[in-house]
Amino acid sequence: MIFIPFLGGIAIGGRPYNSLFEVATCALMGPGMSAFLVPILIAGREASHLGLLPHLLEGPLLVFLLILGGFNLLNLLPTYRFDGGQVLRQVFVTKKALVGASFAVTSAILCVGWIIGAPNNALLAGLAVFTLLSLIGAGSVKPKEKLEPMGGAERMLVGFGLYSAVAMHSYAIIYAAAALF
Amino acid sequence: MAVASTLILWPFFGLGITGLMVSTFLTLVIVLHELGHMAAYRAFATPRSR
Repeated sequence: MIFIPFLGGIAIGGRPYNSLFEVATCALMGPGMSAFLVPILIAGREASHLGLLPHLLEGPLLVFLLILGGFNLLNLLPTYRFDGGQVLRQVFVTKKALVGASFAVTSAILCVGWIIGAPNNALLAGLAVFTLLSLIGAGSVKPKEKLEPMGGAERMLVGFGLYSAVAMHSYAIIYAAAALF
Repeated sequence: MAVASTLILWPFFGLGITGLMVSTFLTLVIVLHELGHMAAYRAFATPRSR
């Protein structure tokens, strides 16, 4: 695991992929694994709110939930290098579907920003930065042979995984922001 | 490395106890995220690869 200040980190797998399903699942499991924590953190916050856990825990739990949701949701943006972009590219094979899905995910994430009351200018500036980032994209290491393609069922499964990851992290941010601000 | 990352991020959230908490949480979130990727890599540790 390598840390890059301000940008996050890189997990080193050390093993090349065999199928596109692996590529999509490995990309999705970053935000997916963190999504497991969202209900647990919310339950913890509720428990400390009710007095079952110390009240002092409530603030830090909410801050952690906000950071967890924020980092993972930004990673789910359909940008070439980010997890969201990686997954979308494997799930949607036609250009039209890919463009439609990218716009849908981006607008869902923008909506979250709007709901928690982020200033419009900041949202637009953020979007512009991510659009620029996605343009750098191209050029990557190509496997020697073509990877095994995904079947319809696998694409559907990964698609639903992406949908639930976006939904859970969006909810985490909205929940934490509503309680904090 | 994780400690270095936490300390580099600290000043950006204010050099207080709250800033340290936020930068520690951010580092922890990054670790969890990357652990998720690594768990998936492990799960797919097939002998065949291209």
